[in-house]
Amino acid sequence: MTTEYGMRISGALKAIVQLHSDTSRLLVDCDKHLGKGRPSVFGSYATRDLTYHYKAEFWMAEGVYRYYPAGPNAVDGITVAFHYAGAPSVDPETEPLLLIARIQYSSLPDTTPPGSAPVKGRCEEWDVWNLYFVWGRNRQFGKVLEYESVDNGRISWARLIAVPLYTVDSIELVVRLADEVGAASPERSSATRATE
Amino acid sequence: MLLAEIHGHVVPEVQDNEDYLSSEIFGHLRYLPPSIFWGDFLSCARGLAANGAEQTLTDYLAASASVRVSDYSSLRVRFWPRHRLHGVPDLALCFEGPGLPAFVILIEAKLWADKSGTDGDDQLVRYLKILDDLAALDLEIRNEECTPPSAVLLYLTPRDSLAEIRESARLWGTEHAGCARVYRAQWQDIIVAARMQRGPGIGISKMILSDVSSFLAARNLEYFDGFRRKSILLFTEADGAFYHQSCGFVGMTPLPLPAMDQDAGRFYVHPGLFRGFQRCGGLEAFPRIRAGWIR
Repeated sequence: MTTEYGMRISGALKAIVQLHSDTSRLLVDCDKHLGKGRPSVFGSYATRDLTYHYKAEFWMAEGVYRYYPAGPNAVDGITVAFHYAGAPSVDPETEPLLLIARIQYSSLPDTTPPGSAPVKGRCEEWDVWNLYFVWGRNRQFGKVLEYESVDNGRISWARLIAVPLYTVDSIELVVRLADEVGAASPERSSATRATE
Repeated sequence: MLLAEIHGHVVPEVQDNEDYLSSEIFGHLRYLPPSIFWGDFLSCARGLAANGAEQTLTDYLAASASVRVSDYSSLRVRFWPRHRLHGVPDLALCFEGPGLPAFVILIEAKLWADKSGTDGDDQLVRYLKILDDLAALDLEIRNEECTPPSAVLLYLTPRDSLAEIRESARLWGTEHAGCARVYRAQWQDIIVAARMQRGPGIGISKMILSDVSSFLAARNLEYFDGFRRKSILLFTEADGAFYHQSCGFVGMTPLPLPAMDQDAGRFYVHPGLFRGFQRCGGLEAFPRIRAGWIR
């Protein structure tokens, strides 16, 4: 016995599965086109804060991310934001977004070799997410947004661009967006120059 | 099982098995002649940058032996050839043709694992050593002693593997002498090369390439080319609610009880011996409600 409503929900869930599957392909391709041999800061982990508890509002990733070191205390980050449960002052009708950012953390004694992952604890998984949804006020699409001295100074500066996810039709577009962010950054690390 | 997976009959136990993937893919591709697909696939394989530019595997073959892959007349595929000292790569592709030096590609295929071994036991370094001792693999290459074959190592992965190869290059020592013979490609490149094949002459090869491409696409081993859209109906926020949630405690529900004085609740009226319960008058019947204070 099936219900019409159940079939509609099934269709919606299949669409979400497809969205996640395509996003995975995007992140895999980012390693080649954006990472360019740089190791991922968080290894193979792309999300966190999923609940396994039986009492939950939902059991679904709100977003996924991938970060690459971009010199001492700096990263290039990509985040796909699916859903905004609990995100303050975010229009609940906001569609899924692609966020690309370069983040410079405030200096700490850095003993890691060039090109390696930043000092542990400086880069936090939801930094790109928080820049756009929590710490910034400007939510324009397609324009490089600027941030200075964020999160109690943990982040010195950041540059970020956001676009609706369903405008992304090729990895080449993602590369162009990343180049825009890089070009707008106050300083480009020596590690990044070496890979370009 | 390749055809079964294409048609949705997925066997969960083999989804993460790289040997199964290698055998399904190359078990079909081995029927393709050198003139179809292989040149385009090997053009996707890249070596480490030398003098600022990455060389493709076809560039290497042209530079080292002055031949193209399509010049060869036969291809033999050996699965899991064993070297007594350096281990077991997944595949050896042996291209041969009259008057041409044989071209051997050792393939190490990965699915979700990284290369094994560290330092002196690095997997890619060990397999590089096999390139200089191909005779130990007993590949049955014709005229091997007269014209030594060209040989390279191809690292085939579902993701970019540049970092792994660079690490192996540091272990090998001199990149140009050693890791100049290591190339990397992705499973996704097989679909790219397959879709490049056109023309009436490819015959049955077209079916093979279509099946292999469909299989890899079903495994999501395809390069990103935009977000696929499915037909869905509009939903509101309230949709999806099938369980009407409890609003929680909303207060006590008053029951129709009459006014009573302080003696009304007494059941033991007289001091001394118990003489029974006193009935209180004026109590009206009221409905019994089961667990009725939380609705």
